[in-house]
Amino acid sequence: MVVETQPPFLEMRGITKAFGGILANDRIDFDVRPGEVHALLGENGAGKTTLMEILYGLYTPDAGEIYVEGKQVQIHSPLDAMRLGIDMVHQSFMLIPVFSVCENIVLGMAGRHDLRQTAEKIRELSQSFGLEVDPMARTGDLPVGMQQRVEIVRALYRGARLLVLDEPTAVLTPIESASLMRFVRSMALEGRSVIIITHKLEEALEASDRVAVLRRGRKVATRPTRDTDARELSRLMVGRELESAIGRRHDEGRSSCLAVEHLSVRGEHGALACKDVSFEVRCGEILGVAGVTGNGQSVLAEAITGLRRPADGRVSLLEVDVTGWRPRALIRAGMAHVPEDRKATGCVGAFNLVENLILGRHRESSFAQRGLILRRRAMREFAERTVQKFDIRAAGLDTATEVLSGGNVQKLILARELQRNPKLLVAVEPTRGLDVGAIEYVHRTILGMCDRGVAVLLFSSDLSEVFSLSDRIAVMYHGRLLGPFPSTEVDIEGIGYMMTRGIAA
Amino acid sequence: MTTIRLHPLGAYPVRVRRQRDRVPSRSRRVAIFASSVILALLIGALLMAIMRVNVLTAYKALISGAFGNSDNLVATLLKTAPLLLAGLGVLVAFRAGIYNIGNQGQFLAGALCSTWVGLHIGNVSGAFGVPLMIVSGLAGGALWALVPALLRAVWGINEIITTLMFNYVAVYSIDYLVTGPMQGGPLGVPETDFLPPGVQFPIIAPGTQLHAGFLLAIIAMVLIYALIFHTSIGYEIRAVGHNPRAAQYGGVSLRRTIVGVMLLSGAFSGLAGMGEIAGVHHQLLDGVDGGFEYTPIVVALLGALNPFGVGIAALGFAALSVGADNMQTVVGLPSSFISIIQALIVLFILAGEYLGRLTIERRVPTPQQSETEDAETHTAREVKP
Amino acid sequence: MSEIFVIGFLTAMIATGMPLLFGALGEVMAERSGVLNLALEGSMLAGALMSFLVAWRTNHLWLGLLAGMAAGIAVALVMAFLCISLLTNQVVTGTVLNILILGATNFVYSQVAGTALTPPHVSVFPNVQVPGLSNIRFIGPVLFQNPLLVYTAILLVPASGWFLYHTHAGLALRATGEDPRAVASVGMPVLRIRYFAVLYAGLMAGIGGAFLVLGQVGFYTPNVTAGRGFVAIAIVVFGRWNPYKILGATAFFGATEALQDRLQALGIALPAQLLLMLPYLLVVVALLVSVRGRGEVGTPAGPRFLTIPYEREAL
Repeated sequence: MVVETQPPFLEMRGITKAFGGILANDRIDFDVRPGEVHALLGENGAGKTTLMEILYGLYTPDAGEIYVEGKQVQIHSPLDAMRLGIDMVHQSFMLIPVFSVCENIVLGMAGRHDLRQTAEKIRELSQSFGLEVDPMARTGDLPVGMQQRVEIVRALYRGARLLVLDEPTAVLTPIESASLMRFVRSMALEGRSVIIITHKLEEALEASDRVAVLRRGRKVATRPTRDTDARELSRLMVGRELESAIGRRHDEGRSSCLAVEHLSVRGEHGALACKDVSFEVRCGEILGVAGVTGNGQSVLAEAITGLRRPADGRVSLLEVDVTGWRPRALIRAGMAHVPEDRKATGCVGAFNLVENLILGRHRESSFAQRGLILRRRAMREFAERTVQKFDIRAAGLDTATEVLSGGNVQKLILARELQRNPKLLVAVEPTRGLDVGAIEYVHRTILGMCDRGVAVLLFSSDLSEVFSLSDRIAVMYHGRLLGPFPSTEVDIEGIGYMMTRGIAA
Repeated sequence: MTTIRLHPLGAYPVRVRRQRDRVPSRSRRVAIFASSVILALLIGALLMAIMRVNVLTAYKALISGAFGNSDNLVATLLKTAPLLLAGLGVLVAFRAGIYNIGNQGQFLAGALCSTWVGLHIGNVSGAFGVPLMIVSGLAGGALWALVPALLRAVWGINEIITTLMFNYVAVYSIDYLVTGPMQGGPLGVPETDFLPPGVQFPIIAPGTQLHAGFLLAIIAMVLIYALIFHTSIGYEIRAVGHNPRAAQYGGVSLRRTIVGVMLLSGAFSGLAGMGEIAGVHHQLLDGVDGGFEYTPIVVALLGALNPFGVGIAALGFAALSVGADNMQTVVGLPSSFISIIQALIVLFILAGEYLGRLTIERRVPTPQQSETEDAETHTAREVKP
Repeated sequence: MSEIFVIGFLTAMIATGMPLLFGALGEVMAERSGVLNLALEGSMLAGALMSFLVAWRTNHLWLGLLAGMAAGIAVALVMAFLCISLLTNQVVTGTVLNILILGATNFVYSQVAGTALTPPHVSVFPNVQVPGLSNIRFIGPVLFQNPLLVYTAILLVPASGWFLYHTHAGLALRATGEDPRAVASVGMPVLRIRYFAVLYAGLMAGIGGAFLVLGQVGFYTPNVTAGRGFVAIAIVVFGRWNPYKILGATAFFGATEALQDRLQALGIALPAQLLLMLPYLLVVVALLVSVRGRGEVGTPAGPRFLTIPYEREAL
């Protein structure tokens, strides 16, 4: 248990960091005691990760001081941080997929390492914390939860006394999350400290001793966890009371929109990443597909939207066989797609808003005479209308899309996909990384489309999102599809169990 | 600590920051361009000083050689046409992120193809002579780009290496043909017979050598501009160049775009080669590609991949190389001297693009900050070159 | 075929393969660090010219070699500064740099030696016989009667392999090409690693260029490398970024070039130009053969972050 009077292990004072005129961190004071689990709570863009990357030496602060065990320190690189016993597990893992676990762990460590001895040490260390990993496995072949373990074991191997976990449960199943929290506790019992960066209230409340809340680059409060509750934290985090979850009327019995039969698709390495999947989405219905990242959802979504050729099986859209059709034909047939990686796939970053808003429709007669000569004025007018209607915030229509915030890029993509009156919307992780306001907006838009009779196929690793939106829910596990089940007949625990075990509880 | 520390660079720390996602403003780009040219010419002057060449005389010879009288001006314009055409070819490919640096081979293929056609249809051509020559030039260049295009589009094989290798193949093929099967004229001279007049470009400025190829290049420049910025095909080319994955998501076929762009790129280089045959040499000979090996690439880059920019760059480089010939006679500097200057200009512009995105910030610390901050340690680390 | 012919062929193969091997062993390091160093050709050409000029003027071959190394590194330094520090496009920078070096070498050679009536030439590196082994029938003259640089290059193959796969620095180098962010996150200097790798490639190319002139012919002709730097880059791809496979690929290309000389000597009636273009055609064929199955468009093989610049404060 933490003794409140204990001197802090880490203290950060007046940390300030600006990126191009925007204050990401504004005079933040923050401290962590030995043996403490400290949650750093805030919306996306509140400055949590920036603060921790300053601590880890990836950024140099514009102002502020850092003390470790009472002594002022200068942290200029991750190496400095590691020497001080500070280590970080990033949200996107910093592992080389083609390296073995062992190679990843010794990367960057001084001195010679006999691989066999190191492997033995890794095995022992991981077992003592209940985090079994195979040191000889190829890292890229491991499931995401296991890769996170590798990162944690690496930090332990390097002797971390303060471990920063950035959104650690974002990629985990409920069971894996629980086991991670057990590990965090056992680490704290040893007198080491843990900082958990999160935007999830429950996580902050469940695991921590204290919670620090950031909002728009400032720290608004630090509370002992036992003295606070979800209501207070959410008010501190968002600056207002959160509205209750969006209600959804369930509606069935319309005609079929998308039918997938016995679909098998090969993944990056040529192996079947999606095996014998069959389901149907009806008009005006939302089918939610849950699953831990990397269980074949992306590949399935790519096959349905024409970015990847299926190996076997059949896809039909409105009773027409569209198996193996390329995106252009599918777009014409009424498919809309909100892709997983909105900046890498969903738009051309160097294009301005006008050009991005017609991506995929650039050969339609309303934007191109005889499909060839672009109608510049029509494009511009369309963009003006759309930007206004969907409240896309940008300096101007000629702004390059890459400078927009994630939320505005997502609005742009949704606006574009919606404007062409699709029959089917395939949305993959539509709210990942967005702040609360933008999430609400995206959810309302999707529900609105559904009310107008559009069939929605939603892929999401966020279970609460799947449950609040879907009429029926299916689970992807190791490339196979379980379900779909009507959302009234399953609960979060049941789906969570299927996500980890591949069988119904 | 209550005093505000003075920073060596001024009253307050000055930090230089590179901003990503920000294109340099127009005035900055002009400044970068101008300073790159000046810097390259200065280095040229330095070289001349080392060679004990009078710098002023040399540069004067350069300018008068390029523009001094109408003959020189015509020579410059004659050189502009092929540079512009081939530069447009490079532009089209680079715009799609396809690094076709095989313009030399495609140039030669266009020259070869049109020569062969010209020699065979010569007598029956009539009004169709020149158009047929144009078509054969386009076809020859496109054909030479076809194999690298397919290799890239179907198997993902790096087009940089394959197009380069095809350059060497083209050079040796031409050498073989003009010394062997297609050899004409005096024995032992590596050249073909002369083309009949019906397939030669007409002269557009009476009394000079200026031929219709120059007009062709200007028309091509406008066409490429329209294609890139005012058609859906150009839209797709640019989308593929910036983000192939997003383009694919937006319904663009990568394979079709890559092949199309390569063929178009090759066709324009081929047209440049054909123009040299139909307008200047009137026969195929060894070294017909002299001065056009890599210059079109440099021209395309210097023109910032904008068709009109490429036009200006082609004119500038043509002037440099025509002027260089005069410089050689006057002060004895070899023409390779000018190719150094040309490459240096582009290298400086490449470097300048980075500098153009630097913004200098003067940070005025608030009293609270200056108390807590050791300004020097932070700023010193972040000043970038 | 006579024994002398085969021995001659194999010896020629080793000699013609050497510049390629040096270049490829350098380039593999640069590419493993994530930099496509197209300026390899420029480094090689600059190395060839400078080594020749110094050797010619000083009558000292080893001094010439040193000058070649320095020239190769100098070109690589410009490439590294532009691509690594100033984040310029690697393909574009490499191409323009090659054009610059082509012009510069032509200029320098014409100024220094262009006016001479007979082109200047130097003696070439002498063969060093390995005592005992060089007398072995057949193998001896081929493998153990070569200039010292040849032994160096051959030994560099296992050394490079050992470095890449069995040392910490090699691990870091490979990691930098696979994902520089991961390397930075464990506190290693990505930019410095890339600088070292590119400079090393320049050094190797410089030696390769020097060998081309001082190890084989003894005189310099403008653009003497004639795309050998590019062939070396292709060999790296063909050899799947692995030093041992690169040795095999080099032997293949050395053989085609050697064959070309032999066939001409035998008076086989093929146009000379066809033989001259053969190595370049074979590069294309080799690249096609080295593709495993049909690759997805836009997913090049090799290190994952090849050609992608790394920026420290990426925001």
